[in-house]
Amino acid sequence: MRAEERDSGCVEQLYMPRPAKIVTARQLTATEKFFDIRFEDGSELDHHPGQFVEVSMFGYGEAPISVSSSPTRKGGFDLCVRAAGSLTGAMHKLPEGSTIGIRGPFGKGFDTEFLKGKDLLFIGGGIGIVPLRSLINYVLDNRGDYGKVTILYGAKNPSELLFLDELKAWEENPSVDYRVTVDTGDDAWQGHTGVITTLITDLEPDPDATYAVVVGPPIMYKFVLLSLKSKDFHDDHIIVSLERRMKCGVGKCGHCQINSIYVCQDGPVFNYADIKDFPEAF
Amino acid sequence: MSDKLLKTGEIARHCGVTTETVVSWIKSGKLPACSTPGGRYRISAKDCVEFLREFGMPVPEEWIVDDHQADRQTFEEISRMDQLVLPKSGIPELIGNLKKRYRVFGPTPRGKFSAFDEVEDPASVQLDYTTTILPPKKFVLPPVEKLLDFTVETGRATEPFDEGKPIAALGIHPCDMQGILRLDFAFRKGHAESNYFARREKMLFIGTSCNPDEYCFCDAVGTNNFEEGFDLFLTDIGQSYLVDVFTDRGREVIKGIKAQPVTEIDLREAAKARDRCSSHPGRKLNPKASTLPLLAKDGEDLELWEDVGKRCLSCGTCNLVCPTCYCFDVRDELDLSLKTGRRVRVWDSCQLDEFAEVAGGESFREERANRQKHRFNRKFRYLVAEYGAPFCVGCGRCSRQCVADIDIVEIANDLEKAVAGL
Repeated sequence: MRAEERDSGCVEQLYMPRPAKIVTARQLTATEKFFDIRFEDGSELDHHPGQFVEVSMFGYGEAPISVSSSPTRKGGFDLCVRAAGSLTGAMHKLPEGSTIGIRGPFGKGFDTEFLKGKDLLFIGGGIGIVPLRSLINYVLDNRGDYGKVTILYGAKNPSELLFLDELKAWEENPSVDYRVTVDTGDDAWQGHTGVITTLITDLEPDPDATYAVVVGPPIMYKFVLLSLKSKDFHDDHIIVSLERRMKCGVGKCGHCQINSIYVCQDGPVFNYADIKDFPEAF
Repeated sequence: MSDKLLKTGEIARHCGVTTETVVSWIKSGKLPACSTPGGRYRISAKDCVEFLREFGMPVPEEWIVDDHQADRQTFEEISRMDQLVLPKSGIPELIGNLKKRYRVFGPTPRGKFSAFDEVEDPASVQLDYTTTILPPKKFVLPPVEKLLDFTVETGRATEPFDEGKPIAALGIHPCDMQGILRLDFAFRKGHAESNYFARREKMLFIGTSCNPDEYCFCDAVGTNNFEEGFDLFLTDIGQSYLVDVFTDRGREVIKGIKAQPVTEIDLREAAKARDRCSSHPGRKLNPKASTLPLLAKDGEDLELWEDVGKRCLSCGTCNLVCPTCYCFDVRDELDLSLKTGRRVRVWDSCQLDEFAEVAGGESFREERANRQKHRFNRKFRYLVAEYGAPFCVGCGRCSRQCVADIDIVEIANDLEKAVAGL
């Protein structure tokens, strides 16, 4: 679109949420709850893996939440919400059948076309697995389009692991190399213990063929990026998704700005090479 | 009668595009234009009419040149001219005309400065003023603005419907109008926001020439421009104002007010008055504005940010009084019944600690030095490439009202020195 066409373009009503129903709500851990959401008018969210929505609850406000389901799975979409603030806390108390508001989807998601044919190394830390799940399931639903798939997932302890049914399915899937670790195990834990970077040590990825997709808490990036560099990963072969508190989702309110870019417009998914020089990114 | 000359702004408004778009038509050769000695484009009405017809756009009747029209200046004629002289005694009548269609706001003395207050009594308006506490941004982006009315139980909301009179702002200085044009850009960019433009497009802006004080530096950032954005512009020429008429909306509100044709002397006086800000800047910005994006980048790690950060109290006043700051927060307010309420947006400040906080409490701009740097970068670096000019209009409000005496011009000057010393 040429600049003048965009300039003379129609104005948009940007702040009206669309009513949606909580079809099912399931407690996954002590702090995370899973919601299956459907728009009341029956329309699909029509999102790309990695995009986010603004969840609206009148009286509480709005909160940016990553979409956790793949667009290949029709009939609603999934949100997985940690009770961290007043809105998310209130959302946890909503019974099934309740109405919430949704704006979006917003932002740039993962470039699923570009990643076709590439080997993929997914690295999810904590609730970073939530947005990552939208891409993992997309890739698994189009398995033939992608090369080797490796999934590394780390949580603080076994009770914080999300999507246990799906983790099992990934583990049993012969076309997926799935590895999981917890920082601290408990009596029942028989798997790997240690921070997520300890899983990277054992890998021997081909740095030219592989793209790493990394989503986790701010502190995780620093160490994972170092580990990937030690495996000779190219900067532009690392894809990240960043968390900020977007208030508007449409590039106006300023809250999600990282130096010159807006996470809600230019991200939340970024190629590491494009943002590594921004002092405010990590 | 000779062909009339049109300004880029007039054509932009008619076509519903930005001035930059009209300039791009000129540069690409689609629209023939000449330029004034001051470097401003002028387009002959004849050429413009041809251009509009070629691209199938509607042609305003007043641009079609009638070669047989007699060249006489009756009272009626004067009120149809693009420039006329209005005695200062005619201002109450102008305000009276405005009030028929608009809520009128004008500069009214308040403490050391002035404020754009709603005009009850025309005598309270003082057009000859230095600066206002808040810029006229409050008209296009109110400090608290309702986005939605909602009902909690049903989860349904409606957008507020404003049937009230639109706002006419009187006595707007060129730097402040440039601030509004930058906000227009911000709210059009990417997604053009209906909340903003529904209000903005109905407004009327009447400019006045200004009186710089020791904090002003509009000329250094290129914002002393009386031709852009205004419906009418009043230049103080002593007993009268030279009135430039830029839009039909502007012409409508001066209709019927007794005015005189413009003389050579009036034009000379007006040029002097408009030049006052350029020839007597209060602050001297040493680096050229075009070098600031690079200076800000090269000076990112300098000590001086730490010094500024130590002085800053994080009160956010600089953001509130800035004509181009538009960051906001969105909040829900409940009625006492707890059943209904409204979603509002309120002005926010990047100088506040929690501005860049995310869920879990991590903040990405924890240090005051970094927050001050962010403000400077937003004014002189980040948006500059896209907009084509600084996002600072040189009004001096942030420095004038900073309790810690942090001065944006001083920072720029120190930055230039420090970068040169690197």
